[in-house]
Amino acid sequence: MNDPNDGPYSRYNARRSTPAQVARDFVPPDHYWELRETVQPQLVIGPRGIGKTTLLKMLLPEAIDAWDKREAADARRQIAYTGVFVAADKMWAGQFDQLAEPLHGDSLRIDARDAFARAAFAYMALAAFADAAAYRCRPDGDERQFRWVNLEVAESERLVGAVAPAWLAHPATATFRDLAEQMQSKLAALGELMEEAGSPGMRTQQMRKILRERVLRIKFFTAAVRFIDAFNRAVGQQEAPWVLLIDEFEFLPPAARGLLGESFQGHDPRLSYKISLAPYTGTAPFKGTPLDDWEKIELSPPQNPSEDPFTVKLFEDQLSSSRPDKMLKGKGFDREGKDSYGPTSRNAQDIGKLAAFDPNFRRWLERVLGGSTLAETAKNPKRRKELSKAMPLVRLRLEYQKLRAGAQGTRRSRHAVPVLYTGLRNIYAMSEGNPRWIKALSHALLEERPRDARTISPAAQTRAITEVAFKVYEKLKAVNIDTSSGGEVVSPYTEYPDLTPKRLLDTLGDYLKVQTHDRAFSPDVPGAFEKDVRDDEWLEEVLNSLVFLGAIVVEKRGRHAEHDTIRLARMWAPIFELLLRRGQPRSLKSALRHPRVRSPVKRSSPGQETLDVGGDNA
Amino acid sequence: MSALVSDRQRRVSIFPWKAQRLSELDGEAHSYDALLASVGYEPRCRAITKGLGTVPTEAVAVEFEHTRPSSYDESLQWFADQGVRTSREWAELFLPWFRGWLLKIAASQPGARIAVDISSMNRPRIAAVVQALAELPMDVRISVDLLYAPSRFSPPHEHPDGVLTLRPVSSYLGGQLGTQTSPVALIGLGYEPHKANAALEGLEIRSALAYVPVGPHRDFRDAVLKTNRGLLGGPEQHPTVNYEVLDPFDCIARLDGRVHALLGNGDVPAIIPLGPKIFALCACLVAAIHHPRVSVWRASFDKEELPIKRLDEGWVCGVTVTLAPAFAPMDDSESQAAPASVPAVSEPATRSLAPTHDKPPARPGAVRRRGAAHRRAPDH
Repeated sequence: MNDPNDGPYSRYNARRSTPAQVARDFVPPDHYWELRETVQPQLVIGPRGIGKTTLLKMLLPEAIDAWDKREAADARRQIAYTGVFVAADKMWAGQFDQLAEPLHGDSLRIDARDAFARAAFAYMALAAFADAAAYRCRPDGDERQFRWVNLEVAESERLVGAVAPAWLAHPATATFRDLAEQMQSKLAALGELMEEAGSPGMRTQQMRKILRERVLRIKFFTAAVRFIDAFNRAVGQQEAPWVLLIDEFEFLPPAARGLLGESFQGHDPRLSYKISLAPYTGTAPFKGTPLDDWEKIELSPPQNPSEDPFTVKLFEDQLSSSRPDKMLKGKGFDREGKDSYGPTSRNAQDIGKLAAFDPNFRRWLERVLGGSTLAETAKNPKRRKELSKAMPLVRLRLEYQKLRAGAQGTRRSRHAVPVLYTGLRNIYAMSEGNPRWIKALSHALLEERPRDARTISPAAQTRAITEVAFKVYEKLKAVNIDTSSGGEVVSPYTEYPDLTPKRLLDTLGDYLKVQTHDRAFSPDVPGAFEKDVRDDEWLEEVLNSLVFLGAIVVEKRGRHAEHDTIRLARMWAPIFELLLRRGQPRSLKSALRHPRVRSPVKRSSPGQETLDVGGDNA
Repeated sequence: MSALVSDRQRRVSIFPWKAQRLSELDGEAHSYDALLASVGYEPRCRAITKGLGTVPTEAVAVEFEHTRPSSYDESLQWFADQGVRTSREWAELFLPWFRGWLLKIAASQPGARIAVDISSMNRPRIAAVVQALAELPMDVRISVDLLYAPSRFSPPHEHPDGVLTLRPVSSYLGGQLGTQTSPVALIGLGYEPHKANAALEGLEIRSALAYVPVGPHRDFRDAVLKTNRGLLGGPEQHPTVNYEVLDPFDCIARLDGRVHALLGNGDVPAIIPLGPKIFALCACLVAAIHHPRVSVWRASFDKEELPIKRLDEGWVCGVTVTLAPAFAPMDDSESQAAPASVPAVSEPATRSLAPTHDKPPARPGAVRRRGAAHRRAPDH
C-alpha cells in the first residue's frame, strides 16, 4: 500500500509506524529525558500531534536500536527498564464498543461487559510483554543492542512453559512469539464470545455460562508478575523493571482502566506504567485508578517556538537546512525602519492609509496623537511603545482591507491571504512546536520552492501556509466524536446541543475577527478565551476534539487564575484575520451566545430535494 | 464460480445478476416466491417492487423507526396498496426477524427464490441481511437475489459540518478483536464532502485504497472525484480502483482479491463503504467470506445526516446468493444455466470450499460472463 502520506494529522502519526520508523527522524524534546530517567509511574498528557505516541515508542528497545543519532547513546545508558507498548486506539475502541453495546441493562450483563473489558486489556498487554521478550532475546541480536539478552532455546522454552498456565496458554507453548500469538487468538476468541453474549435473546443461564468461560479467568497482574519474575531470573536480572507504556489510555473501557488501578495497588516494584492520554478527557479515565497521584508530564506548545530547541531542530531536519532563516525570508508584520515614525516612514504611510478609511482607528490615533504630529508623539517613550505595539494590528487591518477592496464588492475569498504571516519567526509561531504542523508546513514549503532555489519567496510561503491551514480547516467539517465508552452510551449534558467542532472554531474565530477588525481599535486586542463554562459535557467533548486535533490550544491557569485559558491555534490566524499573539482573554460563555452554536444550518444544492427531518440513511 | 461461505456440508455461492432497465424487467421471468423491501422516505424504495410487477404472496416491507417525512407515509401507503405487508421489525429486531422469515420460507418452499431490495436499507440492515444468509443452517436451500436500484444523479449537496460517528456496521462484521498495527482501509467513495477523509482520520488509518463508483450517469464519477480531490490528489494520493455500480459481482471479485492479498501480507483490512449502497452490500459479502478477519465500518452523521429524496435511475442490478447442502442440486432447472466464468473470488481462508458449481440454479438474471469489460455502464 501507499506510504503514510495523507495530510498533517495522519501523515505524521506515529501510531501506525513501527518503532524503527519512529526513530528514523526522532528529535528528542526535553520531556523525553524525563520519561527516560525514572521507572516511576508517569502520565503524559497532551493534545493530538504533540508527540505522545512518539515519546512512548522511543522508549522501546526496537526504537533505541534503530535510532542512529548522537543522543541515542545517552538513551541507552539511562533507560533502565524494558518498555512494553500497549496501544488502545480508536479502531480497537470502536470494535469493543460495538460488541459491548448490547451488554447493558441488568447487573449480569454489566458484569459481563466489565469482565470482557478486563480480559481484553489483559490479553493485549500480555501479548505486548511476549513481543518485548521475543525482541530482547532474538537469536540474531548481539550485546551491542539495547537490552539484548542471550537466552538459550531450552531455557526460553522452559520459561515460556512456566508462565503458560498463568497466561491460560497451552502448556506446550515453546516460544515468546507463540505466546504472543496465543494471546492474540484469545483476544479474538474473546470478541467472538462477546458477540455471542450480546446476541438477542440471550438468557440469564446462558450468560452465566459465558461468564464462567475459561478465557475470562485471566488475571492480568498475576500473569504479568509471574512472567517478569521468570524472565528476570532466567536472564540473571532479578530486579530489572518492566514498564507498561499505554498509549491513548482514554480509549480503554472503564473496567480496563479500573484494572490498572487494582494492579497498581498490588504494587510490584518491577512493574511500572507510563500512560499517555489527551487533555480534557474529563475525569472518566481517572476513575478507579491511582493516576491522580502520578507524576504528570504535560506536553504543551512552547511559549516561544522560535526559541524551542525541539521546534528549531525539527524544522531544520524537515527542511534539510541548517539555516532555515535564509530559506524563509520575509518580515511578516515588521517593516523596514520599524522604529521610524517620520513623515515619509513606512509606519507613517501605513498609519495614514488606515486612518483614511477606518474611523475606529482614526479615533484611537487622535487620542494617542493628542494634536501632535506622529513624529513628535513617537519621541515620547510611552507613546512610542504604544505605537510600536499597535503597528502589527495597523498592518493587519490595512492588508485585509486591501484584499476586501480588491474583491470589488464581493466577499473576500478566505484563501486570499496577505504576506504578513511569512518569515521563519512567524512560521515557527504558527507551528506551535507541534511536530505534525511542523512537518506539514515543511512539506508544503518545500513543494513551493522552485527547483534549485535557495529561498522561498513570501508569496510562496503564504501559499504553503494557506494550503496547510485550509486543508486542516476543511477537515473539521467532519470530525469523529464518540461519547460512548466501553459499550456504555453516554448522552452528555449540554446547553449547546448543536455545537460541532467546526461551529465552535468558526464562532470563536469570527468573534475574534470582529474584535480585531471592526470594534474600537486597541493594541490589546482580544485573542483568547477564559474557559468559564463548566459542567457542559458536550462542550467539553467538542473542545477536546479540537484540542486533540491541535486546532485549539489550552493554556493552564496560573495559580491565581480562576479558569484555564484557551486560544485558537495560530495556524488559523490567516483564515480569521488574526494577529500571531495571544491577546487578552474574553469570556467563552459570551462568545458562545452566537446563534450558530444553537441552531444548525442545513443547506442543499438546487438540484436536490432534501427533507426537513433528522435522518439516518447511512 | 465462487463461494461465499462454504464447507463440506453446504454450498453458499454468489452469482452475477445482469443489470437491466427497470422498465424492461420481465415480470414472468422474474417471478419470486418472496420479496423483502424497505419502507423509506426516498421514492426509490418502491422502484424494484414496482418494476417486478407481480408482487409475491409473501412480500414484506420493513419500516424504519426514524426519519418519517410525508414521503415516508406515501411509501407506506403505496406498499399497502400493492398488497405488501409492512413490518416494524427494525433496528436490532431486524436480524432475528429476517432469519426467521428466511427459515419459514425455506421450510415451506425448499429452493425458494427470494428478492431482497437493498436500495433503501441502511448499512446495518444490509449487514444483517448478509449475516443471516451466512449463518443459515446447513440444510437450507434458497436462492436470494440481492437487488439494488441506483439513485438518479443529483449534484452533491453541501452538508453542514457535523460530528461523524464511526462504528463497525455490526458485531458480526466488526472484524477480529486484536491489536491492529497495520489496518488498511478499503474505502468506497461517495460524494458526501469530507466524509471519507474524516473516516480515515478518525480511525487513524494511513494506508487506504479508494474505490471510485462509476454510475450510470457520467457526472456521478466526476462529482465523486471532485469531492474527494483532497484524498486522491496532492500529497495524499491514495491509489484508486474504479468499480461499476451496475456490476456488483465484479466489485465483489475485486474487493475479495484485494482482501485476500492484504490478509496474506499480514495486514488487517477494514472496509469503509461510503457512497452507493451496493458497495456496502459488496463489502459485507466480502467480509462474510473472510469472517471474522475483515471489518466493515459505518461512518454516519447520524441525525444530522441529510435525508435526500432520491429517485431511481431506472436501472436495477444485483447479485444472487444461493444456499444449498453440498452436492445437492437446487432443482432440475439448474442444468439450464451455465456457471458464470468470472475470476474466482478467493477461497475463504478459514474454511474449506465445496467443489465449484457445475450446475448453478436457473435465474433469469444470471449471465455467462466473459470478463469485467464485456459490458459498460450506459451513459445517459
